[in-house]
Amino acid sequence: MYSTKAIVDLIRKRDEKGISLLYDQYAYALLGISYRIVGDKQIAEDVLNKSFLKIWDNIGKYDEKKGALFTWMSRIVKNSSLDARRAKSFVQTNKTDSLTNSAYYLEATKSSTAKLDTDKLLTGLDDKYKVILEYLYLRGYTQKELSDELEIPIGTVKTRLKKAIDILRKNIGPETNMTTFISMLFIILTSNLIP
Amino acid sequence: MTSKNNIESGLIELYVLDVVSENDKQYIEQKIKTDYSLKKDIKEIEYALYRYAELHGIHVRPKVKKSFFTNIKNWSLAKGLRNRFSLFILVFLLNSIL
Repeated sequence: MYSTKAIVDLIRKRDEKGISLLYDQYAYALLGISYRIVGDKQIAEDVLNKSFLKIWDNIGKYDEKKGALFTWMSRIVKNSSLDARRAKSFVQTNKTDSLTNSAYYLEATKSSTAKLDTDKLLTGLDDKYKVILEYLYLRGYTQKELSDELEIPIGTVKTRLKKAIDILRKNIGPETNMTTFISMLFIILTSNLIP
Repeated sequence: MTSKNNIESGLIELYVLDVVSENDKQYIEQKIKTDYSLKKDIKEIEYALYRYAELHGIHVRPKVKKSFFTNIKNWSLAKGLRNRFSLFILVFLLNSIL
């Protein structure tokens, strides 16, 4: 089992095993983001591969102090997907697909454990919060676009986003807290070592 | 703005989603360097969003990954050729000057 840091190190050494491991771990989640933005599976797959090529080429620019690897990669995928959508002159209707249409491409055969995880993660997340995460996070909308789309003030978008993420954090629970605790301990220890 | 205020205002969530202004982005990136509780919050938000994205993922067909590795080999080859060509031009120019 490789840690994220070990995978990044492999890619920095131009070892294709690193990018292969990264692909296996994250392509699934990233394709979901790309598909939601471009609205076409083939284009989304193309964007995904182009994004991984950018990740391979630009791994030197990734700064772990600024954020997690997935966050950095998802920004690359999101920006590439938005470019692809603009290039293809997608019409507004594509952009505002209903949530159920998107579900068509979701993996149909999730294991019962995955189903339990899903239920646990989404507990208490009402539709008004899901829609904010869907459009702002997974579809690359700006706050203004979403505010116009839903006809609610930008301040409400912001509040609902915060609430939605708070619910997710609460549902994820102690597992993350332990991960965070270890990360924080590591940061404090290493920062003390550096003069 | 204090860290507590940042957290309460929802700015951190927007930062992680990369939908903040350049000024706010720089402000938070500066704060992360020294504010451990802010860094902890960002890590938790990133992880929560990653889990959410994972939940909404789409199966990647094996042929898509295979095609990626064909692309990467072609890309590396093209980059190598570009580098050699640039080197050749550089040597040619230096020769012409000297």
